[in-house]
Amino acid sequence: MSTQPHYSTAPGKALGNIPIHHRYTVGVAGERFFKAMRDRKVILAAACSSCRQRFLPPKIYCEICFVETGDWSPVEGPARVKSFTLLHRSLDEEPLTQPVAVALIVWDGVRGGILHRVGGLEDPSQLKTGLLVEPCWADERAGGVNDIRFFAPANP
Amino acid sequence: MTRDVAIVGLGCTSFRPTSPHASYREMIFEAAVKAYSDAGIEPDQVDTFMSVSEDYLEGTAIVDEYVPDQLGAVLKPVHTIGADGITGLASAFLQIRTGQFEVALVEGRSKASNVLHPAHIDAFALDPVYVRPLELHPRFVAGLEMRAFLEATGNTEEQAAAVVEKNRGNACRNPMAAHPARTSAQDVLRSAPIAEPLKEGDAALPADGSIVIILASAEAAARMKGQPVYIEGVGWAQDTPNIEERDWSRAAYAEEAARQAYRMAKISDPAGQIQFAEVDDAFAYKELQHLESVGLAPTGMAGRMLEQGEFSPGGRLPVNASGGSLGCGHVHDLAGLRSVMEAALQLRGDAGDRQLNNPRVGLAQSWRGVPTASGGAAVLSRR
Repeated sequence: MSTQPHYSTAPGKALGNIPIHHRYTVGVAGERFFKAMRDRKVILAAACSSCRQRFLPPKIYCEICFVETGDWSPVEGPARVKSFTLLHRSLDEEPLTQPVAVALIVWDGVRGGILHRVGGLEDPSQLKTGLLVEPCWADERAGGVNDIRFFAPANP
Repeated sequence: MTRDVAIVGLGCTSFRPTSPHASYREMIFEAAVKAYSDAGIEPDQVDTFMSVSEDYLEGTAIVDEYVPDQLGAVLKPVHTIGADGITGLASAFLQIRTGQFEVALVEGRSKASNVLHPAHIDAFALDPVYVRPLELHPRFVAGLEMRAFLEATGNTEEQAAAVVEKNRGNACRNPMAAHPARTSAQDVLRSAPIAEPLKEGDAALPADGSIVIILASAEAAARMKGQPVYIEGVGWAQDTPNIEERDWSRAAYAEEAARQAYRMAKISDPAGQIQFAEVDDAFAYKELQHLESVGLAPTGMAGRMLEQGEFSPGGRLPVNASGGSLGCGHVHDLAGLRSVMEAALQLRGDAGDRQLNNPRVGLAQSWRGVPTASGGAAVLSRR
């Protein structure tokens, strides 16, 4: 992580960059969420203590009632693909030799969901809205979204 | 008693894929000179200035510090709006309405060609804990939304592609446009996939440019030379920042922004009262989604109405006669101001070869782009 900016100039153009690095505080809700993923391979949703709405990713507040959330409990039942895309570009705008399947994964009765990769597909055409999926956990888990390698079609 | 506010001056550079001939500050100067000339005033007659800026896109921290001198605004109040252009317009409008100011100026610029790695900036706008570590090109969000929108409403990929054919074709009559083209929907459908179902042809290409718009109270406008275009209503809104929670079948931020603007403008039947619209089309499907969300097409009908020619320049409700972002080029947060400028030109009868037939009421609507769910709306009229 170099902190040396690089500059070069010429009459027609000047090049500049800035090495920006951050250390983000994950927060109360995020810490609890990621510890449960890392230690127990469990996805926790938080429920509003007033309206009972469950949120994922969990938050310490309910934006509807504007009160703190109370009950934290694992999501249960099958997860479902709400929408998906096949991504063909890297962040550096390079074409990907193998497109990456990305989906919004949702659970019934939970507001929100998890954005993640979809893997373990026999064929890309298997990926459809509504496909039932389950998390494929990483063996080495650090406490972050990549503790889930991807979501794979659920075994019937 | 609220006071009426009008647009009294317009100035812009042409929009272009690159602009190695001038710095962003020189481009603002060009737009400012034209706007002052259009309004027939000098910089010292402006009471307050609005600058629409986003530091990461400009490549300079606190970039609004670099704004005043090329506008003639040194030692004047400058208000920076880190949001889309219509929010900047709304701020100028409201400042005049306070009664403290008579004349306000809104400035924005895009130097997209200066940004060598734009996807990294959009990725930096993703949630740093839950989303960014996936290391995905941020347009995955548009791919997810496009599929969800099409599946929920019954609009089709082909209809989205037809938006591109219309808008880039419209841009052929706009001398300021960066990306005019006679392209067909089939060309778009055959273009390379980016984030399926989103294809290269569906996405507006970036452009550089600057716009300056001068506003005045109705009393001050009456003393100026040009034909005033009245701002009848404005609105802006943000949906949840949590991508996971959004309802992609509609653009909730556009619904709310339009609702606010319509209420202020006393528009009760938008489809009947709005005569033309400039709506955000950063991606082709967004034009259809935005039209349905601002009440100019019933849910699921925008694509069919487009195919029937209703949104063409000669149609019942011309949409993006300017060419939109697909045809003019995407100018980031300036896109909303570009829509406002086009609506004002149309209402003044100054739209040249693309002039619509004597419109009196138009809508400009904006979106901040991936990964945001925020935008604005403005209803403009000629009285």
